[in-house]
Amino acid sequence: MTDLLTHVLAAYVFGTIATRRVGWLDARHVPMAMVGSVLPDAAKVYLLTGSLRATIAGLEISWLALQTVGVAVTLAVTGSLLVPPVERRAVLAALVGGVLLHVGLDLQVVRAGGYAPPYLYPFSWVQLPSTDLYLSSDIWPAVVAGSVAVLVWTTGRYRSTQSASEETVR
Amino acid sequence: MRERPVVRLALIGLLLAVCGVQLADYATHEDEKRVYPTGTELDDDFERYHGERVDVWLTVDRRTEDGFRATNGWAVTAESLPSALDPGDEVQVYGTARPGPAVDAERVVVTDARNRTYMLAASALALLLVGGYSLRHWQPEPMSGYFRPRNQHPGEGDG
Repeated sequence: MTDLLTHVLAAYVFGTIATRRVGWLDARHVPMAMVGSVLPDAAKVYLLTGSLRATIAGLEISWLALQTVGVAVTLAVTGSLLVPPVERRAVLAALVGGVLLHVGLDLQVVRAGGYAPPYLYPFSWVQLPSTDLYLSSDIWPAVVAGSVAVLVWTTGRYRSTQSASEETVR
Repeated sequence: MRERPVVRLALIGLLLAVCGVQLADYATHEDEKRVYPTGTELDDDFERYHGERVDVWLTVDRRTEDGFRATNGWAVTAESLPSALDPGDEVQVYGTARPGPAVDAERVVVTDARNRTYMLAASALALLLVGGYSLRHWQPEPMSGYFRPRNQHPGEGDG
């Protein structure tokens, strides 16, 4: 995994850009994309339990399944039911977008064996090759994501100011 | 038309059950589907995988003449190791399983213990950022069970 801060900042960047391009997305949906980008890292619950596996009601489960597209998207759909129906489509799109962005970034992580975990489960068990771009503990991805996030935030403020000025002139 | 809370609750329960089924199914099939033997398989019966390629995460206990000893007792041998390899560092090792248990490493990727601390701290900061930014735009409404946009009034836009 990439560190969570990089995931969240990347979701902010892509979410904010999406709100400028897609009419039915609004600034309030950006934090939903950030929430979506956090969902696959629910798998890190194993750091608290001390084991990748657990037995619940007699069934053995694997916490690693939480980082897969199948489980994370199911959680995203569940999350979309926690907002009013009129908001559901946009919130679901933002949550799923955040999940897919997370998986996309995790495919860039250095893997000694050359293959990422089977993120596409349950659609496929295929383990895609990793691009070996960065270590999950590297600091520079968060620095890059943070710099771009500041740039996007600044341009957003500039656009708002410009719009307000044009309104005043009219 | 308002949606019925009972139906919504049932849907949420059903979706969480689907998550549970996936967690159990993944645990059932993971060992047979992964490219390399899983940590569970190696812990259970390392001998069975002698001569096979393995890809494992280990924690360095101490350096040795030809590699390092992991905290789980495994010996890792490698032709060359990063100079900055210290006890407590987390290491990805790709290589061949040998009796010992031991691994002849072809590739070793080190995560410095200090960077791991950074990763955990940065991740905690990220959770605070997400929580704070979400609550800035959305507010929980316990009576209805919804999170509503802060610029929207209760009852508006319930579909």
